Amino acid sequence: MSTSTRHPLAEAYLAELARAAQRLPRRERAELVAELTAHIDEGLARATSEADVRNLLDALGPPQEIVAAAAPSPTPAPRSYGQTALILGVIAVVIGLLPLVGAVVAVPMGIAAIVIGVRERREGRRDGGSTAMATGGVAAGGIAIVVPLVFLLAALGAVIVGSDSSVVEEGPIIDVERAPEVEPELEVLPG
Amino acid sequence: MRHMVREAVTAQLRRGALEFCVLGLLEERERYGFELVRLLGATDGMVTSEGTVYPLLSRLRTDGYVTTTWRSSDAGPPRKYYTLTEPGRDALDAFRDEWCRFSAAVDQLLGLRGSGAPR
Repeated sequence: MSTSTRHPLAEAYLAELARAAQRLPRRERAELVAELTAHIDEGLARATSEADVRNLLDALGPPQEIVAAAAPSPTPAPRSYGQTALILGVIAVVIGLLPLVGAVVAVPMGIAAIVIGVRERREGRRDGGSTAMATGGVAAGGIAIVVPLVFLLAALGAVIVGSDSSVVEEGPIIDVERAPEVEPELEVLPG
Repeated sequence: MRHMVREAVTAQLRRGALEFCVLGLLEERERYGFELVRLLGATDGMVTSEGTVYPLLSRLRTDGYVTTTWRSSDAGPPRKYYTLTEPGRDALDAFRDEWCRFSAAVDQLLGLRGSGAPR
């Protein structure tokens, strides 16, 4: 190991390199730092002026760039998953608010939103992306199915209750039917 | 405008050919890092940042195309020597053939050689 002190510019460069190389795996980091240190020391041994030292370091290029070249190829930026599911789910919820027709359209749409949302969630978790929208899509899809069905049940309930009041309406009809029974008595009297 | 085009194009071409140029430099004999980097840097347009050659050399080693040994040198600091392996030689030969064929084709289409080149 060389014990002679290096030119301060070279030391500064190596310090910057060490900092930038933190992000590399330990073995790659050690290898890169060792190689570049050896390279710089070779160059310094041949340098006769500060200009030579500057040229040496400039030719190497910025430590950030070198570390970037050494880093494993970056995975594509994780995208947000489930945009389709969310949009579908929200539209389904809104349509589901429309009476009767709403339920017919909203329920299949809600099912679709849930299916797509679940699939997107799985993909998102596997690829390390954000699954918030997909989860929202599943939730919206669920609401889109449940709410119209609740309305539908309420409407059916109203219809059933309405048919009870029509039993009351039959009352007068029965009274009217009884009425003719009175008349024969009237007919007998004059006879 | 031409200068911008030249830079972008050269970067692309360089990306594919550089590792094989390194192998070519090692064909005759082993070389140490500083020497390799300087040779490449001296060849016009081959490297922008000399430091990035080292990660490239690292990849050549993981790919099995070169082996490395540190050797102490009386001239100064220890040196890391790179030697071409058999698979490295095969890869170099394959690229040489491919490059000849490819550059001939490009030359022809650019009208740089051959008669009857379509324009």
